[in-house]
Amino acid sequence: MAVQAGGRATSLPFRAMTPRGNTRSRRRRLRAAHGRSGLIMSSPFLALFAVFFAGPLIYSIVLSLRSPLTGAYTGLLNYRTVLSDASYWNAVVRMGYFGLVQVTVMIGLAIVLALLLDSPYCRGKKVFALVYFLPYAVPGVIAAIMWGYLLEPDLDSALGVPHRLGLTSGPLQPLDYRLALYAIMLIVTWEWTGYNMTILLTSLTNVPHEVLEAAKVDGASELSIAARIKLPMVRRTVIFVVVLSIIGTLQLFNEPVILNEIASIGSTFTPNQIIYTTAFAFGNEELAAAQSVVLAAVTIVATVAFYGIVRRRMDPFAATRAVVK
Amino acid sequence: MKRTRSAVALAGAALAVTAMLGTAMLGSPAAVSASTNAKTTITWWTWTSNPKTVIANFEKAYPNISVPVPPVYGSGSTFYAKLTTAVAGGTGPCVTQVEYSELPQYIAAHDLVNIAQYVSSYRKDFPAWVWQQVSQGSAVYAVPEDIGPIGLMYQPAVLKKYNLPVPATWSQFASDAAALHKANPSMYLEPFVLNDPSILESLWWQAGARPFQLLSNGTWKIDVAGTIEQQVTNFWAKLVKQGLAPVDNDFTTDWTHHIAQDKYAAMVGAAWGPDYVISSNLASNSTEEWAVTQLPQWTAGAHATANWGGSTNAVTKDCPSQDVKDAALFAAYINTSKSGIAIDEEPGTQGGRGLFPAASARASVPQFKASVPHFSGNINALYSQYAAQVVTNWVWSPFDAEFRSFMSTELASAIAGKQTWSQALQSVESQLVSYAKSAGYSVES
Repeated sequence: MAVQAGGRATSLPFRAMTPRGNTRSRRRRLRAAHGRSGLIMSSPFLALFAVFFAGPLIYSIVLSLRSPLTGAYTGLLNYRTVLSDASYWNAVVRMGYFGLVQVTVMIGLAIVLALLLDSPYCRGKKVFALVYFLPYAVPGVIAAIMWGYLLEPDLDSALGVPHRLGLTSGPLQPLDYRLALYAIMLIVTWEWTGYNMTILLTSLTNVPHEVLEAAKVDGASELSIAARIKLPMVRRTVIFVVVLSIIGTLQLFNEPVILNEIASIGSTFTPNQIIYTTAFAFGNEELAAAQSVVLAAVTIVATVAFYGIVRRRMDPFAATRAVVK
Repeated sequence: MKRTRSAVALAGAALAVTAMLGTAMLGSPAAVSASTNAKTTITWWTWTSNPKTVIANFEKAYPNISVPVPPVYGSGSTFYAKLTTAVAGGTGPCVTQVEYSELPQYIAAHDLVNIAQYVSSYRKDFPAWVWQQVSQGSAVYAVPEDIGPIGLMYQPAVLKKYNLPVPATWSQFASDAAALHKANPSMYLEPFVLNDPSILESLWWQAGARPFQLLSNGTWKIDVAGTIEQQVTNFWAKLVKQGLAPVDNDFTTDWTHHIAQDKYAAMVGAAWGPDYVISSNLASNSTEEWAVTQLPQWTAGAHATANWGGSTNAVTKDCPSQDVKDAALFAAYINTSKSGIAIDEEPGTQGGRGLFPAASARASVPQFKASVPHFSGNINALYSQYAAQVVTNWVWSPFDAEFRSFMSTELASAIAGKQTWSQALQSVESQLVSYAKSAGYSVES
């Protein structure tokens, strides 16, 4: 028995049941009823979306068109300031570099961990899956403070070990301005690898067993199965977590701001930090709004570009289909 | 029962009258009295210590004005972030603590109320240069609270041990730094603070620089890379490059650690330095002994210094108009009355605020002679002397926060060797000019 929306059951396809003359209007009315009920059911979400997302977004755009001193409308003046602001674009480029290195390392690590946990060699899979996920459960601010203390040579004597062994001229200083970016990469990787690994692990469970068994019958080793069968089948998920990571990288804020209290990272290290400094230290909310809109645009461009690059690789069966054709 | 109650009421009234008369005799602001006898509430935001004591003292004198305990919003940039957002949203306090360097930003944003009509009678209670920093033309926007005239804190025993003269000039300071570090590689004469360019600004001030000027037509003249600024900055550049002034970040855990470990033989210190910077970071059984002397001079025999830090109390536009008079009264009372000054000078650990009051009457209370642990000599008397030697006509710009932010970034890049320090100054100047122009100020450089 086929069940239609609204709980009405019919034993035959819909069209055959209704008298010919009323088909279109009945269909239209049903569609309208679907539309109405859909709207009603999603209205709580839409209300919250409007108030906490769409509303502030529109307000930001309006704010970005005003002058900070007088409040009068100055059109795109703030945007011109943002586009010619060297420190803002330096921060964006810095985040681009950060993303290239850190996201690659992190997703690589997440893939390896997920495949390892999914392999038959794994003992205590549930325990390890939880352990790797735990850093994500630590609130971001706490993690940054904790890592700040771990990376300060005066507070963490382990950093002085190479010096005592005679390998370096002084204790390691990861928060020094030359190494700060890599220190932050380390912290972010620690925080998020488990999260990404968990998503990948979940999608790995959707790999059909028949395929794996067929591969084993064909004599494939576990390594080949992992690299040539499991991984390509979760391509879509990998792309998904990479996109999430790109967006997260461009919005990096927590770690530089917290670490700035401990070492001198500066208040213009990442674009999001610049926005915060401009709005609340300089009191220039109009320029900050413009900077936010530009950052959103950069994020959209980066995401679309990435999707464009990997578009042809999204469909895992594209190769097979091409052969079959 | 009835007799006891009326007796208590009578005693209470008598006490109140005596208190008011008493405080009047000690020099409370009798010129401005409470506006009405109705109950008023004035909100106050501050990050100074023990605000409850201050409030209790004020409410004793003006029982009809009640001041709730200020919320804790952190200090410095965290506090200002909260203040800026609150005032932008119309929920700012009646009275707020604002440092001298931040006043122009809030004045330019029309966040503060001109209280000249209520407080101009207190002008004579403060040094001229202090009053000039809370005024713009005939308008007065805040009552000065505390100041930080700068001296040099140093360890006499350490200098004596290595036969180094107490540096009276900056060139002597540089040679002392070299000799000290050579004799004791684990010790330095003075750190170079990277995260807080305000100390470098104050040293520019001492040398007579005027990077920011407000011209009569309302234009801001910015000259951050002028001769004097470059001279002072390059002096420190040389010390940093030679490894004689290690880069440090003030008020961080690391920095506290360095002070406790006796890494520095001296530190440029404002009036709040001995207590807040050194003494509170030394263990009670520490054997370090410090003293204060005049800041090294650029020309031998001169007596110029500058100010570093210090706050005022300003009235914001979010104060209901009928409460502005009481708010101004509060700001004035806590900073000019004898009881207020006494609380200001009491160390924070003993229930006071640990401030160096801006008011000239600071010497009239017994706490003035109090000593600071690990320091010899009458610190307050020395700093009072320096307060009178502060170079006049320094002007703060409305974009000091931006200036400091750009300076930190550019100086970090100069320290890393990516540019010269002079180039860093040029870069800061061009960034500041374009930022100020885009924010709507009329600027020339």
